[in-house]
Amino acid sequence: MPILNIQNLHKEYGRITAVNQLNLTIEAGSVFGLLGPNGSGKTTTLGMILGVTNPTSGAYSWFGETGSHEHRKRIGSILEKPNFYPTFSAYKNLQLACLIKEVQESRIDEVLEQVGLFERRHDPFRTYSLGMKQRLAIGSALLANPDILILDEPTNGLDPKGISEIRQLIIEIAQSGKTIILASHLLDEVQKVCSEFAILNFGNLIHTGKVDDGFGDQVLIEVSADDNLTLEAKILGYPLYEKHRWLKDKIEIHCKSNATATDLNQYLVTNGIYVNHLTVIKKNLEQQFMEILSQNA
Amino acid sequence: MLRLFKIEYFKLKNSKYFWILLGLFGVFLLAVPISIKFFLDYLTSIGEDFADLGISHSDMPFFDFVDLWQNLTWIYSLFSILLGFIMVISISNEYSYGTVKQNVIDGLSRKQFLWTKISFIIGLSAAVSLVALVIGLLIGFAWSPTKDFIFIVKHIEFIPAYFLHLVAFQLFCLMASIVIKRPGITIALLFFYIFMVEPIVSTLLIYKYKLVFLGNVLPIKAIGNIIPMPWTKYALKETQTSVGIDDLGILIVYIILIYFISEWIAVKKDLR
Ligand SMILES: Nc1ncnc2c1ncn2[C@@H]1O[C@H](COP(=O)(O)OP(=O)(O)OP(=O)(O)O)[C@@H](O)[C@H]1O
Ligand SMILES: [Mg+2]
Repeated sequence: MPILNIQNLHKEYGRITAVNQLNLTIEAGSVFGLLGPNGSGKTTTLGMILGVTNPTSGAYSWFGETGSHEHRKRIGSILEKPNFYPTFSAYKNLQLACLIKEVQESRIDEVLEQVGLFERRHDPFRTYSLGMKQRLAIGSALLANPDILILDEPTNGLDPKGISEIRQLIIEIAQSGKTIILASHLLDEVQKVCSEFAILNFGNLIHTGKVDDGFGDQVLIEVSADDNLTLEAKILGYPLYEKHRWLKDKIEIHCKSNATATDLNQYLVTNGIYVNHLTVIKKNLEQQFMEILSQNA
Repeated sequence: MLRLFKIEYFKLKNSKYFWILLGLFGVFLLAVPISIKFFLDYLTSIGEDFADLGISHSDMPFFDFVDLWQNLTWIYSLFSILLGFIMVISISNEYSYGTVKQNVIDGLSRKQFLWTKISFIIGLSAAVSLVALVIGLLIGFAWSPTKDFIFIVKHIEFIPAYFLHLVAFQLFCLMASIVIKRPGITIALLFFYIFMVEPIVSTLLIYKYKLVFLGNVLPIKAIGNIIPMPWTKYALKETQTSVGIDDLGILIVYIILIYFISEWIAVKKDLR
């Protein structure tokens, strides 16, 4: 059963069409990435399905029912930036969210631990750093233990440790069978956590598909050895070799689709080369994304 | 509805400005009748009466039952602005912090959000009216020469009238905040409108252009008219000493109008 069904959703701001006749279905359990350049309509789309932006026309349904505020109590969301009461502590802000969502306050400590704000829970929100505010927003989204999480740029403002923690958290939540809708322009982020994605451009849906885990009919392998020049000479003879290019201190080899890391390694060892680095590269979403955007330009 | 009230109460009880404004208001509720009592006693003690003005404070039965309800609620109605400001700050903060958006995302409908405020206005007005009733009874029993039941309840309708006045006034402030959305500007404009624009326009309409009805039907004037100014009767002028049906009608029309305007804006406009 689709968990979210969007039909002909449309939003105009004066002359600007922010979202153009959008149709989209998101199945339960999927981790869905919503991609698009700045101003492509991601936040507007999420704003509409979360009741803060009035659609010019069109409709959406949650769990097969016409969307209403009752559904939103069971959906955890972040929209654009963390919005909290600046003079209230994290704890008080979450208490208020509990009142609105009608959930038990016992969840508060759990989520504060989960997002690493437990120690600072009694400090006023306005004294938090941007990353801490963002963490509180994520904590608040997790409060009702929702089946659906909607995250608009969730790692915005986080430090690298924070980013990887939040991504890990998203992946864990996804593994527990929840549905996640992630809007981002960080392709790498979507690549790491999403199973499917859609691309918006100027409000138009220009692509939906799965996040590829292969590189089409090629396999990309990155290698380096102590002596990269000898390595370069040898790989030319690899039977599955197609082409290669230099990275900074590594070589990226495009191989035929039946190549594997083991196979290449075996070949190199028999040719007297011991690699110090060997990785199979997954298809880069960024390349996919740029390709699709340029096709639709 | 109780849940919506609790949501607003939670926000306010954790906000300093609420306690400051409410405390100030509470101080006035108590201090006003007490200081008037002291003032009248003082006048008696120095033997002053305003015979040449045609008023005698001994004829000024401020605390006598029958008169007391109108006197008390009229004076109290001058301080309604303090309660109005609670709403102004509460609502405009929500817009500037973006917390309206968050409340809606978390699971309130926009109409429910509006009703968290309205339910609080109703609850607070009811509580304040009740306090006014209790204070009225206390000072009446202490200082009124007549304590007959029939006199006590004769114009006790000013208490429910005061309740409606409070609701209407705070709704007016709510509407202004929803339209303007910035706390500072809303307060400044409200001050300007309530104490400058409307009194001038209304005086001009009533006394210069003789458009009495029009002058009385301006919102703040109409919200005040439900409790007519009592003092002129002590100068033996003709004074309205009960709640007028026409005033009540106009006030109720205002309450309905203000509600629908606020709802229209709160529900139809995007939260950005
Ligand atoms: N309140 C508004 N008034 C007028 N135009 C708006 C408003 N909100 C959004 N827009 C316009 O709608 C379009 C889509 O904006 P939106 O915020 O949905 O983009 P986005 O995909 O979320 O971008 P970003 O990656 O920068 O967050 C933009 O052209 C924007 O200028
Ligand atoms: Mg956005």
